[in-house]
Amino acid sequence: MDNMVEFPDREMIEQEAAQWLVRLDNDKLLDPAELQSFKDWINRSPLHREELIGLSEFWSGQSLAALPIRLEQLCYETSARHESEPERSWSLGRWASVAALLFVGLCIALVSGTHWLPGATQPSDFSTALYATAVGQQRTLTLPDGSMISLNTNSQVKVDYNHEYRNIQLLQGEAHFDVAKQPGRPFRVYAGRGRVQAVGTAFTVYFRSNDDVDVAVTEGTVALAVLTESDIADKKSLTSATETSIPSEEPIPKSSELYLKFPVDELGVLEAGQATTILVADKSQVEAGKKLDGVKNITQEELVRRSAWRSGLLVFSGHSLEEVVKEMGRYTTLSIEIVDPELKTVRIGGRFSMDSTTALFNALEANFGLRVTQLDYNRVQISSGKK
Amino acid sequence: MAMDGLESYCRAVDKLPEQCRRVYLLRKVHGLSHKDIAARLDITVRSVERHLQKGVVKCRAYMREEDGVDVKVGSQNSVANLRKERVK
Repeated sequence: MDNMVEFPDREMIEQEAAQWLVRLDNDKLLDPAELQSFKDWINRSPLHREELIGLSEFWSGQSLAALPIRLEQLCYETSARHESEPERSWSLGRWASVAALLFVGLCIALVSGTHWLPGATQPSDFSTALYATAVGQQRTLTLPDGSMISLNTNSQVKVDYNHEYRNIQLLQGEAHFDVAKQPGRPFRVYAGRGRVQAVGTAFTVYFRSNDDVDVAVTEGTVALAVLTESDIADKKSLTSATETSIPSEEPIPKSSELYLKFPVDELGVLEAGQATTILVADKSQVEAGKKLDGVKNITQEELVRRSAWRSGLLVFSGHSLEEVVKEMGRYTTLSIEIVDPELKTVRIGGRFSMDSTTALFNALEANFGLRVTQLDYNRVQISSGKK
Repeated sequence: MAMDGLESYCRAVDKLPEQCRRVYLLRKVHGLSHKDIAARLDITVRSVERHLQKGVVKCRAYMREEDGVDVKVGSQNSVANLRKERVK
């Protein structure tokens, strides 16, 4: 219908995506206002997300890192900028063949399905990338150290590795981490102001849209902490901070400075079979010292339910229809509305495939006496079937 | 095949305006922070970021157009694929 406007639109989205990509790739964390406007942008349209994912996959390709270009060649006296004839002595085309040998490593990495170059083939220990999933999509990544990340629907992580630490920022959504054991090189997940640290363990972090952070541990133990800085993007307060998260660590490389200098408030450890929520949404609670929503021991059954998404399933047992609809909302762009308020408390149980919302709707109709009406391509109503 | 990808990537970067190319390479080859790049080239962090934005868009466009090279690195698993992987 509106094919005419698609082109300019696409270009603008590409520009905006490039802007966010570059911003996210910076060493500086997003401040709360930026994070909000990022979330707003990404949720405005599936096209936004698609464009950012595509662009970030291109950007994260590490092939250029294999080029033998000396730093000084790029930083020679700025007057050269004004020469009308651009300096050709460092034409990249010629270097490409020099890089061929170095590049074999990358080819192997690509063939074996690894997303990254092994750290050793890179000229520096710099290794950062952004990964994202669209609504309804999931993917599993293997990181250079052998750790695995499974991303649930509508989620984004920024991976920041160097030889001293392994930092992950969960910018949005939910992820399960299977951490390769590396003593002395902590694996930390930052979600807003919550921090989860592990050495050789498996756990799931869900960064709720209200900024609270759900953590469930399936293996080993993790240490929980809250970043206490009220404005986490305030650099001045960071440089004056005296407490570092890992007291034993050596002088910190520059790119990691910001992370490691966040003053943190240790909240204690969580063991396998336990779950909790780091409460950071409500500032007054944080200040009053109530930062954890009680540590719960969760049954094996509950743990299985919570990690069902990793096998493409949604599992409910006695959850209210309202909760079910909210959970479904994470996996589909459909807007689902419950028409009759009294239906919200109807209890729902069962295992549903994430692939098909239709199957779930059919089950609701067949087993729970509900009626599901598709209003238009984007809207669905659930009403009482008995009428 | 992957080698073609690098050559084409190099040609794409070569086509960038000089300052833009320099910023792009300092970031992608040397992994310098935006702040470091700004200091070394005596420009603002904002212009570093503008060069990077322009660079990534132009390089991808060049590679798509000139070579038809598949610029996607890494793969995305749909839920269905994920399930297949788990089954095996």
